[in-house]
Amino acid sequence: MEPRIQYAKTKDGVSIAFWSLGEGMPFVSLPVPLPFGHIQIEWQIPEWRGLHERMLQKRRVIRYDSRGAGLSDRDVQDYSLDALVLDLETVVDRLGLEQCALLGFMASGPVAIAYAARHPERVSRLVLWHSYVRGSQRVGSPGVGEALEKLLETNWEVYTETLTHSAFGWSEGEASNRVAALLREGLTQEMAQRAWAAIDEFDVTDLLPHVRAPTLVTWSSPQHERG
Amino acid sequence: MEPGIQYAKTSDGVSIAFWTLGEGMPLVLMPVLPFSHCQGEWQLPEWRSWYERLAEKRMVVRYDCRGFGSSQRDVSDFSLEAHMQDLEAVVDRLGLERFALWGASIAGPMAIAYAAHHPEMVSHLLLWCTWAGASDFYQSPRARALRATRDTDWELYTETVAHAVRGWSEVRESESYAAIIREGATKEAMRAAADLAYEFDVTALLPKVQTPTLVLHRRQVPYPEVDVARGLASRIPDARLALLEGESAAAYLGDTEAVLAAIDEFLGEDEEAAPERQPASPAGLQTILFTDVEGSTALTQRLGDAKAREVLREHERIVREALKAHGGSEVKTMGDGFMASFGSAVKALECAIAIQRAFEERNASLPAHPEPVEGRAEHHALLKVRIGLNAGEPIAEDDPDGRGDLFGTAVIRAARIAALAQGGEILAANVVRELAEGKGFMFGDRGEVALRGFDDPVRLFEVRWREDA
Repeated sequence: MEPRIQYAKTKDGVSIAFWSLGEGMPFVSLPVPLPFGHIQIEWQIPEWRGLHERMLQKRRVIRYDSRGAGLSDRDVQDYSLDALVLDLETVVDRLGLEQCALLGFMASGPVAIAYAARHPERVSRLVLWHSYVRGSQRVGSPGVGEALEKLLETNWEVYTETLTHSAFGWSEGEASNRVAALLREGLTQEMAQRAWAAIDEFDVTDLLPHVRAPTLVTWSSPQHERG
Repeated sequence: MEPGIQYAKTSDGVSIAFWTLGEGMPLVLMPVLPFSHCQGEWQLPEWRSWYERLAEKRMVVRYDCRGFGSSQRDVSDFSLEAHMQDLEAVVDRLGLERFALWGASIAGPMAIAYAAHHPEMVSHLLLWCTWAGASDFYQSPRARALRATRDTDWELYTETVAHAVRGWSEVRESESYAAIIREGATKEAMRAAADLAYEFDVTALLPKVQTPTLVLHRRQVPYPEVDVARGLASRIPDARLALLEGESAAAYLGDTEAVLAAIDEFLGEDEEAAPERQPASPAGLQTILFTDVEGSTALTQRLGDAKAREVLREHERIVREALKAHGGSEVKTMGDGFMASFGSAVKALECAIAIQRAFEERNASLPAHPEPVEGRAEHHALLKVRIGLNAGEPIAEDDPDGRGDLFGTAVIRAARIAALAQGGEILAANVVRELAEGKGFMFGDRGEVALRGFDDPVRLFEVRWREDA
């Protein structure tokens, strides 16, 4: 069954959309793929739905859209790391979670790390998947970043399709087009540009020693694109 | 089965037609202007089955607003206040103490306004494909074109609207729908009512809605866009958003099962979720206590919101202390009153007496001749509370946030009894007196009294609580 969306308001007045499903240890899966996301439409993507349903079997899963994206308030000025941590804090507080596990994927990783460092007593486990500590590390291969940036400026549709095709592989045409449509529905082109510029400034290197939660860092296949 | 049309009279004397279908928790559907014909609608199969499905788990109430359908036609006031009066007339006539309210499209701002102003009446607010203010849409080229058609060619307008709602392939259905629209009101009434209703803007009220709210929307509906629904849900405190698939802005068309599932879930009547829910209080006999501050509206007008709130907070403190001391469970507070339940009638009576004595003590401690210094005297306003008691087996239900609530005849009667009491008085139904027989309480017989909305009268007793009584 699809979850019902609820809202929590941050201290700086931004409405954050979230859902919570299942029973057991709370597991907050941070916005994927930040700065994009749409916590309702992702249920229509079979692969995503399957992942959620699998995760729900053993625990309570919480998902939210970060500020600027999906069902959360779209028109935001502050997209700093602190602001994104505030989004997470707001949802956790609204649900009254004493302790939870966090999953940070790619650009959400620094947000999860910063939260875990600031609230060591509230994070039971930290899982970082394809993530990084500095936003500037998000693009591996030389030249790709510049090319994508150009594409983002010029052609929103080709840009989002390029992102998803390179993430899913070019053979998975249908699946990646579905995700590309989700990316476009969840974020405006203009917000994407502003968000990436802000993410480039994220750096949680100094916070790493303050993370006390048992942490799993995973990295599967080569990841040579951004997004 | 087509329900019979009944009538209610508004406070300004207008006859309002309505019907009810099914039994259980009331769900009141507001008319969706510019069309309303609560009787004519039964001719359309989709409408009929929609109402029948909705009423399987609850009592559905549908009415025509003034000027439309089977309600009184010769009216000219279509203000927001007039719409509120129409709703109130039906609610009063049915004696509804609390109900869920459904506002679709143009009725959304009206439903929001009612819920914001009457948190004690509305248990759930359901908003379907609607907005807080529609001015953008109203000025759009499409809306302008539709209005122009309406004003020049009435028949073409109704057919266009019917086709747009029903889909262009369903010719016959659209024609009968257009006929129902034309039957439902005069062109003039439709123009006056709709043009005004599109101007209602309740954006400022959204943060004040205390009622649990579900915002329902279909993602492919052209207007309002999904962003409008998102904005609505994010601005009403603790609202939930259910995004469904489909392009019809009419809930009774398209995938109605998904709509019904979302409604059932929100109203807490889905069987699957039922075992998980904890009843608010143990089932069985409960004594229900209502308190109500006498003249609280006048108090607010005299003292202003902030000071009146301060005085009412004192009332809350006194009542809560008494509830705690006597094992009462606070079911809810209405700002100037409480609803509480007790497992024992004796405890409830003791609590009621303790509350009256505490208020008497408080009032006696005020200066006998308050100095006429501005603000100061008003600060020490006398507080007099009416208390009503009844016993029965109410239905316990949790709202979506897990707060318990009680429903049923026993609850409504208790509220009615409280309303009959004077400030400083405790009135109890005979059943409470019988339950507490031989426990040393003093009762004064007030005889058989008719309660609004009930056919059979109830025998009321005044509970003596003053030491010298």
